[in-house]
Amino acid sequence: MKNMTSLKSIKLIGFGLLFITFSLSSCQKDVPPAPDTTAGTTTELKVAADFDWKTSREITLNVIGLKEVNPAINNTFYVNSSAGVTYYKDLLTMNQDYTIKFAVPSTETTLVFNYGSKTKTVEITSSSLTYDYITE
Amino acid sequence: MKKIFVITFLTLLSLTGFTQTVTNDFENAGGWKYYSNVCWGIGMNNEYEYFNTNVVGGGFTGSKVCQTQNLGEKNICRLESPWTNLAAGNIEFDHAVPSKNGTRKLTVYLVKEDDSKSKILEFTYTNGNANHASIANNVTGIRKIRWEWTGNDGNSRGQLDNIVIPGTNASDPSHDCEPMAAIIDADGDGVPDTQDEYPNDKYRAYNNYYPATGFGTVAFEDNWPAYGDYDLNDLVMGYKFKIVSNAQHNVVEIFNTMLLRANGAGMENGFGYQLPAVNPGSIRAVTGAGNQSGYTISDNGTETGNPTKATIIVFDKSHQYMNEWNTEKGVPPVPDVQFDIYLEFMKNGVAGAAGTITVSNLNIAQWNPFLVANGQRGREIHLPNYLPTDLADQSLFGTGDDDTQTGKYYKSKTNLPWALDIYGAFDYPAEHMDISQTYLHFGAWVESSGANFKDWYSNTGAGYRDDAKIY
Repeated sequence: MKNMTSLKSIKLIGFGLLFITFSLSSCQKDVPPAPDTTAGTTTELKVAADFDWKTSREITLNVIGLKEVNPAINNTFYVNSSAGVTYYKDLLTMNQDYTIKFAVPSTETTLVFNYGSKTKTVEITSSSLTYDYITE
Repeated sequence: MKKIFVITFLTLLSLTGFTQTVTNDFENAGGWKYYSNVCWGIGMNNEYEYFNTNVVGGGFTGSKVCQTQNLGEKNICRLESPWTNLAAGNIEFDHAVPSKNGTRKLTVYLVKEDDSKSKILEFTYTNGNANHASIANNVTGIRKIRWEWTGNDGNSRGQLDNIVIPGTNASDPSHDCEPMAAIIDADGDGVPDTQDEYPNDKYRAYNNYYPATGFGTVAFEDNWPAYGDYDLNDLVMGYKFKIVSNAQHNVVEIFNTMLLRANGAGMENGFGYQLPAVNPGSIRAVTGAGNQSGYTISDNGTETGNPTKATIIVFDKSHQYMNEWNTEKGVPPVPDVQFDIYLEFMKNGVAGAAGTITVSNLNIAQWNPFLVANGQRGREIHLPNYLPTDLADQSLFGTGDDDTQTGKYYKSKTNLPWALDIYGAFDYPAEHMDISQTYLHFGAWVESSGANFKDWYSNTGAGYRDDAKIY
């Protein structure tokens, strides 16, 4: 008998909590998400004169050849993301210099250069990078 | 007499042609690290883990010399040449143990690929003087030269310089300095089949993509030179470029897929783009564009009136391809309209009249898309700071809200644009929904000059956008 009473009490408390929850949530108004700037509209934005509005970044890569490599070695040079997305590929001769231009999303922070068995990972610290074939 | 001279000259020339050598004077500023990358065995693997050979100042001639660590009873210091396709001739080098203590010996071997070796010199030092070795060699084929110094105590070191080996280098520094393997190249274009995306086509080798995956997006406001509502959906175009190039780095063809995704505008807007680095004469043909009424098109498919930069008109009026705006909430979307634009730069190895262009110089990221507002050819709207074409009506510059002037193009007086190029997919705002209120980090991205929230257009986390304002 005592157990039956306890069960009833628990049920009552449970229904009560549910009622309060629904009551509170029905009172709460949906708050639309807001921009994280004080500007209300685009025309109110404060924009620096030199902002380029780009979501990509152009990279100029200077490839320094290993001049002592003779006869010439030809392999495909890959510019990849750390996730394996290829931004650029072309045939390079190992003892020649090249200037290569390509673009990556602005969100990209590192590049992985592959040439044969050689792999180098570099941070994108500027729009002008240098690659040589010297590895540890 | 003349005949004798010619014969003598040709004989000398042919002899010169056969005297290829592999040399090393250790003078490169990069030191041992450089030489190990061009396949000299200088401290480059576990064999040398106790007594690394190095390149130091001093020595025989020049300013640098290869020097071992201290020799000792248990120490064998080594240097190895790259794999060499040996030819008959003399193997020459200078060597010494300058501070000789105890017993010191240099042994030189020819080493085969299976690591078996044959001795070609054994030299016991009696003093610290420099020595020159000239070893007659009749062995041909792939070998390494290995120098090994041994000693019983003390701290003297072996030195080596001015190496000349008859033959040609046969190590592949791009593949861990293994002996060069035969390259399988079915089309003979110089690109190994395993790396060639067209292994049986000598005119093609690689595909490069922009963006690297999927589609990019250009989104326009069409009310230039006056501000609009900044929903950036008056014309929304998806784009993808597949650039095919050959082994000489030249662009062969471009497959450009354009998607008309939205035209939330009352005006009839056209769309085109310019390739700033491409002379129109470098393009042999353009196909796949839509209607181009109101434009003058050359025989090769580029627009006339832009003599130095190839200009492609994709279509003249967007609404003839898409009846709905694809921007109004409550109105069901209609499918994207696809344009498969093909640009032929080379055919069977023959370029257009203005010559070839390399993939790097094409720099497709600098493509210059533009909207032509309301069928008025001169009323071009470009991305911020992108140049107008030669056919733009420059009398509109500086009118309305526009502040175009030398060095500043298609930006307002407060530096706002009329178009954006987004590297990736973009769920554009619905009609009249300001992008700043739709993409909640857009304003922070802009006001930080791009430093913060570089991924503002993504939906990677909560709070990036107000989904209710996206079409």
